[in-house]
Amino acid sequence: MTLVYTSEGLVDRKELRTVHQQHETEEADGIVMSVEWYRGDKLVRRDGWLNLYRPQEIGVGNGS
Amino acid sequence: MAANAAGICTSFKVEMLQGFHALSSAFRAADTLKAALYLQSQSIGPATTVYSVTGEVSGSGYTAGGVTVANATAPTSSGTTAYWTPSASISYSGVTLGSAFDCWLLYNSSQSNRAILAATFAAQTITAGNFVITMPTNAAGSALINAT
Repeated sequence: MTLVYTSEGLVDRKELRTVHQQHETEEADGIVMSVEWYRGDKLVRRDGWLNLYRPQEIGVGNGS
Repeated sequence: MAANAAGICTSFKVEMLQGFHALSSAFRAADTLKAALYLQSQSIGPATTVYSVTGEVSGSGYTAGGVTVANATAPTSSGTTAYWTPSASISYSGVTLGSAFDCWLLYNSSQSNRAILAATFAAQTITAGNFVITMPTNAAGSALINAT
């Protein structure tokens, strides 16, 4: 039996269903992937992974 | 309406020239850097000068101030671009953050919590789970910080 840590404690993985989503806004510096874990209709766990894709720049280049 | 914004903190640009920040041990002992998460309702951004607990997320498993950022890779350059990226992902593990957050602030905890940069993303909440910030490739043009 595989157990997953949730807001209701350790729950058998077989009792959980997952919903995978991605989240992005125009101004964002990255995209967030999330996994929501439901036990019945109740959200019992939510994870997020932010993947940065926009670097932060100092300066505007020196033309070389 | 307040909103977080992305960018290198202007104060960091000045302080970099003043010698406050050591992102490696090339010249002196490397500073300890940290990353804190901020609520969607805040105004963290390029004008931020220091880390503040005001508007920071709170919840089970999260400690005010955030987490230490791995810094095992020294700044370097390619062509005319100098660059730097944390050497590992930033992880907040086993947290519950019930209020929407959309910003993280990198700051120098060794130097009076001086701010370095802010980055934004689509607002999130976390329930009994992990929030992980995966770093970009550490190369000119793609690194977290590029100085051109």
